[in-house]
Amino acid sequence: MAAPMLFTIFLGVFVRIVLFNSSLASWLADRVEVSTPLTSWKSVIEGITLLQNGISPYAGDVFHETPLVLYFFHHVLSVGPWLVPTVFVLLDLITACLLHAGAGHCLTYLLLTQSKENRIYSKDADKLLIKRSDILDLPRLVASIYLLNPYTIVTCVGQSTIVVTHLAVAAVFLFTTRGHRFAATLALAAATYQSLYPAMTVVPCAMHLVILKAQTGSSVVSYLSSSSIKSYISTTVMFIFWLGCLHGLSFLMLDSWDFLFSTYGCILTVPNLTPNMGLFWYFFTEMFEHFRHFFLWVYQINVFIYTAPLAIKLRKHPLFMMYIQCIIIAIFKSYPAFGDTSVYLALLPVWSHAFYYLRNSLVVGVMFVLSSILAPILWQLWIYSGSANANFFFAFTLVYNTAQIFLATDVLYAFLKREFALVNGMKPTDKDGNTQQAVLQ
Amino acid sequence: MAAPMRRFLCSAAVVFMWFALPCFTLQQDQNVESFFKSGHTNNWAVLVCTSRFWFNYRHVANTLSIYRSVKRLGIPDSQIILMLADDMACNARNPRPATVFNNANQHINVYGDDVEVDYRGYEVTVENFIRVLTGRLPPGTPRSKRLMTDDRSNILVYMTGHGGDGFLKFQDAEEISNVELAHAFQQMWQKKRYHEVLYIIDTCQAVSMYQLFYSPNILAVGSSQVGEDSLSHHVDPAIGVYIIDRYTYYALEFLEKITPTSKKTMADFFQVCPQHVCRSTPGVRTDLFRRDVAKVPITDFFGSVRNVELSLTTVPLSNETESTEGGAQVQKQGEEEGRKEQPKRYGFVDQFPAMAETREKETSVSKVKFSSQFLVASSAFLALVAIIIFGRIAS
Repeated sequence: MAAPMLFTIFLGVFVRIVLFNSSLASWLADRVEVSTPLTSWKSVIEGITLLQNGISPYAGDVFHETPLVLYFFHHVLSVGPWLVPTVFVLLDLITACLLHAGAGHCLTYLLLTQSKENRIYSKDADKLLIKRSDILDLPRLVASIYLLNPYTIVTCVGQSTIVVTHLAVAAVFLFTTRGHRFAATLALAAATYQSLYPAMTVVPCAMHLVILKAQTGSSVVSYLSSSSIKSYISTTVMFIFWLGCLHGLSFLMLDSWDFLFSTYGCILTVPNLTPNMGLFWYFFTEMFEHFRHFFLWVYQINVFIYTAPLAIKLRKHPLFMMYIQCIIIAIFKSYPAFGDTSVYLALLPVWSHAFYYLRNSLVVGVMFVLSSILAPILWQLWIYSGSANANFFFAFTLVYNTAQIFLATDVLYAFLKREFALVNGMKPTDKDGNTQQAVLQ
Repeated sequence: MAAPMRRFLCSAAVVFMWFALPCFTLQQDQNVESFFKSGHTNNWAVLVCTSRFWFNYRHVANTLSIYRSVKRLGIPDSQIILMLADDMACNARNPRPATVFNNANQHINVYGDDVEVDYRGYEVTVENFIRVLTGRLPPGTPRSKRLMTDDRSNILVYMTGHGGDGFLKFQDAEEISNVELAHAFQQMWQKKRYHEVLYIIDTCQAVSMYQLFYSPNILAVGSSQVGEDSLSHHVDPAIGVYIIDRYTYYALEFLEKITPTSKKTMADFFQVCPQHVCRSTPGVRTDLFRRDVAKVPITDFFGSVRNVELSLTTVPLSNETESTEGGAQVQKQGEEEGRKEQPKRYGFVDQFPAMAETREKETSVSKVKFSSQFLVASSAFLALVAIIIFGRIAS
């Protein structure tokens, strides 16, 4: 790799190591914006201690980590506690590498598709085209953003186990772009096993694998041809097989299915209403018991329901659909934290060809910065000084989530506008030569 | 010889009857008496006023009047738990500072200078009340705040304040429900914290508070039925508020005439405030009480008449101060005699039983044993994953 890339890697690792050795590490591990009840390091330690004392880690309500991650960290800790920061930094590095490779392959694929469809593009859309140099520049940018993003650094130093999920999601992205069905479904099963929501990325994964398979044949992709259906079914079957393997291994490890209630049960039924950067806790704190089930269903369906319209609209661009799904998961999952933005913020440059049409970039950027600075301050005021209350903190959680929603809608809009402008030109004119305006309806 | 024999037998039978029958009846009487004899040895009282603020003067006056009666009849302060908001005597609106009266003629200052309020002000909460009853108080609680009763204690529980159907309002901030109260009394029964309880409640819809009791030996009386209000008796124009409630006023009238040697029974007490006087209909609950209320003296609950038990059998006490040498000597004697009980040694149970087991483990590295199935399966899975991932990356 080139020197600038090595420099960024070195800088990222250096910043993490410096922060690990400062007092910031333990402070960050306790912050609610960084660690959630599902991913906090303290509960991992609790689970390992319970395991060492012969008690099932899932007996109480403290531990919500999956058994195989418990197994992994148990072995890491039995080597020595000094190994843990190294493992976290390594996980971040591997994720950055996977994102680098994934971005590279995605851009290659986009460039190939662009070159195939060049003849239907209009003449004045040159500004919107992907350049060949992007294949080298942008993946470096992706990896740098992932390594140097303050959100990612804070999550790594806070030892939140969401880094494992990020690794799995980055692997899904990489293997989907490369078309390796076994590996992609394996990574997808790992991500679903770890936190339930990436399960909905099976749809764009299957769609992209169909496209790749069809590309080797004819250039027209039909999602309903028999070979496509065979491809879907094999993807789904393989995904279920890998998921079954992982769950079976977890069952064999502790000889009980208790872990399902502690992991999936906790994700779905949201029993723990510790404040975090999400939308669930505030609403369910003030919810009457009578309505709790109804609103749980509403909130959980809300996460998954965007798959259908996105699949219909973005049926030719499943990789972009996977990206939007990452953003949706980060916004609407039951226990989000600052770290959930890492993967999609890192992958944002891959679609930089659509940035011409971004409208809200300043607003989104300012909202992110504002909420990141003010949320901890208002937390301090609420919990420690007692001069604010939950509404203040929740307001900035809302600002943070609104920033993410604006980002998702803006990127989606820009992408679709670009698709339209590529075919119809950047300044479409009607028969009389007047400029037409394209409006998204 | 038959006739003299018969005569002798008849006279013997008569003499026998003459002496035996009274003995039998005496025995029966004794059985009857012992059946109705009260089994308590000490008396306690828990007097709770659940209101605060000046306009609830009458509730404090109620409670303090009962307090005075109970003290006069012999229950000492150490066995009375008095829970008041205690904001009347020194209230800025009290035209007679440092006093609380229960009558417009202001004969008796029920506050006095020897009142001992155990829970005052904001300490009168539902939680504290239930903790007092059930005995689950924090370790540092002083004796004056504890209800240290046993299974031979008769307890008088008097509550007054603002109530409703099934609840009683505590200090305008929270409520105690009749369900909680019933469960508290059941906890007391299971922990053998009372022999009998007399529960008096003077609030609106008072009867609802004792309707759900299910523990034995509770006698309950309420000042009004469900759907009725308990009314106050009269206003003292000099003080400016109602100063006593009807039921307690008439109850006190009754209690003023009681002395520690009085023969009045609980049945008389229950007649104390009929509807034409009290305007509300008092209710009584006797189904949980095992004795006949007409035979229960009123001093069983309001006074502190101690019952003394005489026993004619001797109770051997063990010599608990054996020294080790003496013990050895005794042991030798015991061996000679054939049987001597080893002095039992008692110790505390380990505080953390799991720690006792893991102390052995700590010497070696704490190892977790996973089943061999899992190890085989996981290694196979890892091998498969490695092949796939690295195969793909290489290709």
